[in-house]
Amino acid sequence: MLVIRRHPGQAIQIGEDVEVLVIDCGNGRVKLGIRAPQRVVVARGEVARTRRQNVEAAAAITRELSWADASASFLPGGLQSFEDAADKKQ
Amino acid sequence: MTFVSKYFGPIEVDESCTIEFPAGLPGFEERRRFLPLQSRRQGGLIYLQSLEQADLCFLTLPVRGLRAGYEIVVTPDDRDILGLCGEGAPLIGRDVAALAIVSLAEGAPPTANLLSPLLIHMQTRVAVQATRPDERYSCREPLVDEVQPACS
Repeated sequence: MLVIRRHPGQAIQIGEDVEVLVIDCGNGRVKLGIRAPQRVVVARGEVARTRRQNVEAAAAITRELSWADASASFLPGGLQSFEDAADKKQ
Repeated sequence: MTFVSKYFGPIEVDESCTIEFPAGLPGFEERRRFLPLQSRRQGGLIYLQSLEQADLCFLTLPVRGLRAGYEIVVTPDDRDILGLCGEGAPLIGRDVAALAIVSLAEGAPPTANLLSPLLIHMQTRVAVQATRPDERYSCREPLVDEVQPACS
């Protein structure tokens, strides 16, 4: 892994068209600005993990057709109903 | 409107039942409208069927059924998408409904994404997949909380 020290206001260039600017740091946090073309997905690390997880979850449903559930229907009491059901389970 | 789902066949969609993700979901940014369907056979399961892609469906469970003490943490961006006012964290069951996407892996127990719950505004039905800024939960949590013994 390449490790670079930068001061606020300084930038890092990645390839031709991605620029990472250090805007501010302090209190154990760093604020970054990222300039990249639209085709480049920029996401926090944990969002990137969720992206992979979503794609996997959706693919698994397609694979596991037996899960298709003919009994499924609209939530009878709307959103409140499943929150109430979750309460009862506790 | 009738929508033909790959899994549920033709569904007569009641517009007041749909939920809207203005930013889509990570990996599915163009998919905005979903319909929650409750399973009568599998207790607690909620399917989220895309109304724009017949074969896109997520299996979800209410977050509070998985972890009783789960508290929501939202970033300012996600708070804006949900249109929540006030400073405090949104409360599950009062401000938002919270669902976790379940992943079925071949040869492994299913897991739930408790890092990024789906939060649905109770009144407006606007939703966001809100990734927590902390690392308290992972995106592959076992469905049963291992900290507490399963039987006592």
